[in-house]
Order: sequence, then structure tokens, then C-alpha cells
Amino acid sequence: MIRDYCFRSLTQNRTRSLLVVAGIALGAMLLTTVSALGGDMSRLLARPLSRLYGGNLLVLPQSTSFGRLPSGYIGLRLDDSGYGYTVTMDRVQPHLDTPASGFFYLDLVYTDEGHRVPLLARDPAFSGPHGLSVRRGRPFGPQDEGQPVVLVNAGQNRYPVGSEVRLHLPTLRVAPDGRMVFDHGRADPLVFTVVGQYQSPMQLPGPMFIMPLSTFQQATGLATGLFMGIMVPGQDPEATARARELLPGYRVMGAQDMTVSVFAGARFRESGGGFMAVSGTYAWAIILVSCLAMANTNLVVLRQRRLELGILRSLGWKPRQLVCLLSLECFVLGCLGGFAGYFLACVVIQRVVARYGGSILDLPGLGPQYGFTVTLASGVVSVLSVIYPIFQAARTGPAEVIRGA
Amino acid sequence: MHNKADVPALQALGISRFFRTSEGPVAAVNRVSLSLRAGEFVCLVGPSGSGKTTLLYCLSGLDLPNTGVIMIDGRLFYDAAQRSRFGEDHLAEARMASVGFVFQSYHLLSSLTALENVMVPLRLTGSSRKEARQRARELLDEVDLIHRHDHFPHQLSGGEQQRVAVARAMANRPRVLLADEPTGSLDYENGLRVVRLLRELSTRHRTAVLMVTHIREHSEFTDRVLTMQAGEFVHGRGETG
Repeated sequence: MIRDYCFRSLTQNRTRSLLVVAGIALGAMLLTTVSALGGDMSRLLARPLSRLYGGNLLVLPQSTSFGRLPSGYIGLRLDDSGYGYTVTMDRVQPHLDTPASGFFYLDLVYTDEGHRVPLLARDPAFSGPHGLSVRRGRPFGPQDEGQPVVLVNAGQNRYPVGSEVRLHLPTLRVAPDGRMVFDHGRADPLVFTVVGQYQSPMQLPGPMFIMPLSTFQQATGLATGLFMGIMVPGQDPEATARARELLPGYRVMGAQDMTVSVFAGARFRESGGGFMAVSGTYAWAIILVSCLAMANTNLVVLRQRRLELGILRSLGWKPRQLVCLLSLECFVLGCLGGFAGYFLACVVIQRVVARYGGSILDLPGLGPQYGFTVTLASGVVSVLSVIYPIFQAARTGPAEVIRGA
Repeated sequence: MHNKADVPALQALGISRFFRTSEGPVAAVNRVSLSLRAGEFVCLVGPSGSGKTTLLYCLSGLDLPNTGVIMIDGRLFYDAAQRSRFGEDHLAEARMASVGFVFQSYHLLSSLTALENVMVPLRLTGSSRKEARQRARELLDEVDLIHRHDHFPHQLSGGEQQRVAVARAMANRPRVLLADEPTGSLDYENGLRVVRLLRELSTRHRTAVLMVTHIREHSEFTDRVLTMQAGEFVHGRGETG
């Protein structure tokens, strides 16, 4: 009986139901969006940083024997007698703060095993295999022709420690159609040995990116060959000390030596933590405002329904049956609103993350389980926010209401 | 020893209802007693503010009298002296089982069809949906509205809504039907039709009917006329003669 009446009441008073659902949906959408921005979006935003800093392959010249290092790595040293340069890459952070500086991304790099670095291949914002495009800063141009390109980070391929990687370092050349393309024509690959693996601070794989050496020097203001960074993960001073012993000719930095300008993960955690704190505050504010709005809406609805409740009482409905009826209606509307809000939030978030080249599927926290939780929580909050007025309305004497009508 | 036929359908003794005002308590109904036989149709008249509606609400349990006892079909319905014994749930059940109420403004549930409105009290007493539907159709047939069973209240005329309200009030075969100016919102012809209907149902189902009205002509359909003034009967006797 209660269920039947609840259904009829909700479907027959469509405008009222829709308005209540819309109000709840708006709150749920805001809450979901802010939560996602605070949590999943933080991880999503970490990806570009991780792409810059988060390779998992430590590549060092074959001639250097380091043994097995329990280390991570944020820099790279390349020695190539053919090109006559040595460069280290542990100071790339300034690029982030210099919008004009150019990071050039490569969508394909081949090892001599034909191993393709695939990370950017799925991103249509990057060029196809025969061309280059720029994601920020200036594009490659004729002025870069003949420049050796520098491999800054070795991407997501998890080569086992001790394995040998032969990397065909490309150069830039101008194609007949005027585009800048890589020349993979060099026959003598750079041969490296993997001595450790670097795990991204954000647990995300990092891609390979390259830049002309001149750009690197211009951007960093550093002379090549000055720095070699080896990062020892965690806060393990012993590991750092051991690495220093093993690498007397290099600059070894432990995590405790890192500054935010060097260690992007730390910097991100710092800013991301603040971001999450702000978004968390917003989330609580939205919960509070949503509850108040729900309570207000439901109070208006209850007031509007005083006569109906009085009639039901006059027909023999007991107060507790009215409490059940009203609670059920609030719960159903709350759940519908919560689900609608979740759906709308997914649409909004998808549009936001698409701007960063991501997809909502990259936000596992927004999955069906979260949707179910939001739906259920909206229903429960909707009931709780109005339970006292429901009790009051259910106990109002029918004569008082009907005679006053 | 009384047999069942001798037991009044409704018996009220010493019913009073006071309202607090800034100038002290005002008696809307003052120690009124009345008795209705099964199948009796009694008309209650009186000027506005004389306490007719308040008395009706008290007799139905929708409002609680400050003093007095109400018996329905020989069973205690309410005793003001033992107020705590008669909680809301008890009154709701007793009202549902033995009292029907027809309001002046019909007060049908707008979200339900005519048939569903009549089904509400039936479902509350535990009838299955099928049983309730069958009984509601019979009742709508009795009030000549079966052809409009799936219409919502706003799709019915005032007279039709009131006939649905009468059918709803009769749904649980109440011993007593209380009608508070059931013709008050209707034109003369429709009002007359509703009163005739109440008379027929009262006779057919042996339901005691107490109807408040302002229209003297309605008294020709009734067995007795009671006149109230200032919360008391001034004409006619409350008890069955």
C-alpha cells in the first residue's frame, strides 16, 4: 500500500518530483565533480608531470659498471662519441615554469629489438610516425636540422635490470614537404645497460620525450656534462650512501636531498595536497549546502502536502505509515537525484579531463561503485535531512489540517 | 437483555470540546449527548459556529473531545477520561473499521483515480489489491460512477467527486457515516442527488448517517433533525426517541 501510493504520488506529481530530483542532482553533481577534482583529477593532473619526470628505465653507458642499485632515477646521461656530447638531465624542472620553453614529444622510438615506445601513440594530439608536433613551446623548425636530439626520459618500458638496450638515437631533418622528421638512419646505436628502474612517484608510467640539445641548453642555462643525477628513492640514507660509494664520479642525490625544483613528485605532492585540501573543504561545504537545500525543498513539499497527509490520516493511516511513506518518497527522489547527479558529473568531468588529453576511464575512483555510493548516500541524506519535519507532519492532527484547509 | 438490533450504532455521552483562547476556554461543543440507530439518517443543522462540524470531528475521532464517551456499535470508541488509552494508532484503526467521513470539499487524493481513492481504505484494512479493486468497483457502481473509475479527481465534476467521496467513506462498511455539509460545494441538483444517495446507502447497508447541512429541504430525506446552537442541541433530541 505504502509502496503503491509512493509510486503514484511521485509519478502523478511530476513537476514536484522533477524539481526535487533536479535540486538533489545538482548537489550530487557538484559534490562528485569536486571530489573527482580533489582525488582522481589530482592523479590525472599528475600524469603530465609524471610524463616529464617519471621514466622507469635507468639507462647508463655500458662502460660504467654500477652493479644493482636499489635506486630510482630522474636524470639521464648520454655519451656518444659520434656526436661528441655528454648531457645530463636532472635539471629539467625549470622548463615547467617557462611556458616558452619547448618540450618536444616523440611518438615513436625504436630500440634495436624493434621495441616501440607506445605511450604517446594513443594520444591523437601527437604526431604520427613520420612527423613531429609540439605540445608546448615552439615546434621543431629548419633551425633544428641536423641537431642531435636528446633522450631525456626512457619511458614506461620496464626493462629488467641488467638488460642491454640499444637505442637508435635519431636526428632531425627537413622532409621534402617541409616538415621536420626524425632520421633513424644511423647504424650505430647507443648501447646502454639497465642498472635500475625508476618508479614514478605518482605510480604512473612516464613517456619518452626528446628535445634538441640546443633547446635544452638554452632552457636550462646549463653547460652539458655538469650534472648527473641519481635519485635514491624513499628516505633511505644508507641506500644513498651506498650509491655514492658506487658512483664516485657522479652526483648522487637521495630523496632527502631533493628540492621541489628537482623532484617533481615532491612538488606535485605539495601542490596537489593543497589542492586536495581545498577541494575537500569545498566538498564538505557542498554537502552542507546540499543537505540544507534538500531539507528546505522537502520542507516546502511537506508543507504543500499537509492537507493530503491529513486526508490520509482521516482515512485511517497511522503516523508511522505516513513516516514510512514520506521517508520512502524522499529516499527514492534522493536516489534518483544522486544517480542523475553522478551521471551529469561524469559528463562534466569527461569534458574537463578531455582538455588534458585524458578520459574519464582514467579515473577509476569514479567507477560504478562510486556511482552506487553517491546514489545510496543521496537517498539516505535526503531522508535524514528531513526526518524531523516528517515526524512532525505525520503527527499533526487531521482535524487541524483539514479544517484549516 | 439487549439484542444486537437494540444497540445504537453510535452513542455519545457528554461530549465537550473546548478551545483555548486569550479570553479563556471556549466551549465549541458543550456536554452533548446523542444516539443513532443503525440505518438511521439524522440531519444536524444550526448556524455557523454552533459547533456542528466540531461535534462531527469529535464523533469520528479526527478531533478529540475534552469530555465524554463515544460508543460505536456498543463498543467503546473513545473515552476522554482515559485519554492515554486511546492513542493515535488505536483511533486510526477504530476509525478505519467503523466510521466513514464525507467532507464538504470532497478531499479526494489528487494523485489517485476514482477507483484508487475508493481502494485506499480497503487496502488499509488488509484487503488484497484484487479484493479491494473488486469492492471499489461495486461501490462506484452503487454511486453510478463506474464508467469514470479511471478518472482523476480533477477530471470529475464536483458532484461526481462527492459521490466518489461517499463511495470511499462506505468502503469498509462503516457502522456510522458522518457527513460534514456534503452538499456545501455543490449546486442544488447535485446536492440533492448526493443526499438521496446517502439516504439510499443508509437504508441499504443499515449505516447510521449524521449529516451536517444548511439546507432545510434535505430534512425531508432524514429521520430526525437536530439543531445546534452555541455548542448545544436546542431542537430535537440527541437520543433516539
